[in-house]
Amino acid sequence: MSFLSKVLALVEKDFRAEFRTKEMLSVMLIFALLVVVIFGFAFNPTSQVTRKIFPGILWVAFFFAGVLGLNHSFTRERYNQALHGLMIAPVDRSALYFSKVLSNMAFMLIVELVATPVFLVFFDYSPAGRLPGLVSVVLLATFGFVAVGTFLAALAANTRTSQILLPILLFPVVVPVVIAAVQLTAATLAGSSTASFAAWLRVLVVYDIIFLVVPFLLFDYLLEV
Amino acid sequence: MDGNLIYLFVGYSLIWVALLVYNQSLVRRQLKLEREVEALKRVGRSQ
Amino acid sequence: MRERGSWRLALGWLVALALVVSLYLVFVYAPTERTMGDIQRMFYWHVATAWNAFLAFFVVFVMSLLYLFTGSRRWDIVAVSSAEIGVMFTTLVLITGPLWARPVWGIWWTWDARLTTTLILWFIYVAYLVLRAAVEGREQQARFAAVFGIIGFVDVPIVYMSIHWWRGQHPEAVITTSGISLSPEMLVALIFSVLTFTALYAYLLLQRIAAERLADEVGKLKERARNA
Repeated sequence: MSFLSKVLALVEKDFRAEFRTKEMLSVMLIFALLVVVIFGFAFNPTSQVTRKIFPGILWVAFFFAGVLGLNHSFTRERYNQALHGLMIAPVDRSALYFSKVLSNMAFMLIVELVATPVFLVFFDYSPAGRLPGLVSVVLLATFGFVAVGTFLAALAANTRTSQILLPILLFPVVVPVVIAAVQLTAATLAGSSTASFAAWLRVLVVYDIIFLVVPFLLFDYLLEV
Repeated sequence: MDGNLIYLFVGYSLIWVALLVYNQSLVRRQLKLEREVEALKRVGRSQ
Repeated sequence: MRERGSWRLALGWLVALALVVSLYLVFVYAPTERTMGDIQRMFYWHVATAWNAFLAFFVVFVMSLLYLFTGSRRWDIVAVSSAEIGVMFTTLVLITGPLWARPVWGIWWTWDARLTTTLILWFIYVAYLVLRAAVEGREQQARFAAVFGIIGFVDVPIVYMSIHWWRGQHPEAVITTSGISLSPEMLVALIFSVLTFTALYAYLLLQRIAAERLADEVGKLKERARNA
């Protein structure tokens, strides 16, 4: 089996486990929607100011929901010693990492895909920009978040306080993605493609590359027994 | 300017206090551990 | 053991003396800055702590790499000691910064790149210490901490750049400290303060390392007593 097919096999395993119960996806989705509803109560959803911070609200919801998913992705492997099983499996540790990145990314994208239209309706927001721009921003930002998040989730999963530890490990590290995602989304939703757009896109790409390579190099150290 | 000196005073005293407290805690921790090492060694010898 | 302890003690008193000299340079020798007045004197120790906080985190990064390559507990001890001191220094930086900003700029905090990066740095290394506390087993604790120490440090330049550009879009709020022109006496006071704090960092690091080694020894002796 090639490396890629091993990764895909592991992704398929995650999908099968998830779609059997859909427990994680449903929780992530409901949570994302709840965050937006809470924001709706906290700020007047029809005011001009709230419309300005709409991209921020969107990403706060996605990132918070994402943390829930990331937390679950490794802690659920602890039941029945599943993680040990995966480590015995004849695959590279890095294949395990990449597969988790891919499946976490897929779950987050599903949540974003379903939740975004609902958010637009709730906040009566009509986006002006073109779709490809928004899609590329969402893909790059989600990937950066998931790449480093998956790694830190694996790290946190083996600690005593795994579920509550991940957010404080992840959010300081992921600050550049948060800034870039909100800036870029604001620019695309408003339909204004300024000069800084390319610069922010570059930040995301650089971040994505760095935090794909560094965890790839370090992942072996996480799963030593 | 005069009113500003309080900020300066607070800043520098805070640094001093923090350093002294931290240093003190390290010294105390060492003493405690040293005593523990002594006690454990005594126990080891008597066995 | 005893002998090394007395060396540390001597270094400690030397550092204490240097701190007093540094205070003299800061408050008496250095002239009062023309536009900001006396409050500018906050600058010297503020910069000294900031510089050494960064040094401490750089040491954590190097020691984390060394640990992953060698697996020797020796480097891990330095890493955790340095991280703890770095967090303390960063806390002081984050307190003295606003104490300076308030009278000069009229605000406690500004989301300027340097300030905000320092804050994020503080969060990262507090998380580093929390992570250590949450991991069971010496070896795993060291390994996880080293991995996070590397990730966190690699992240810092990107954080700085992104916050820099982020603020660049709101130029009205950007306030920099580079506008200060330093007289030679000020420079002397600054350099002496920075060096003194570097010595202080070294002293605290040695003290912290000694404490950690003792803790290891206690652990080992307990283990032996249990097996006997």
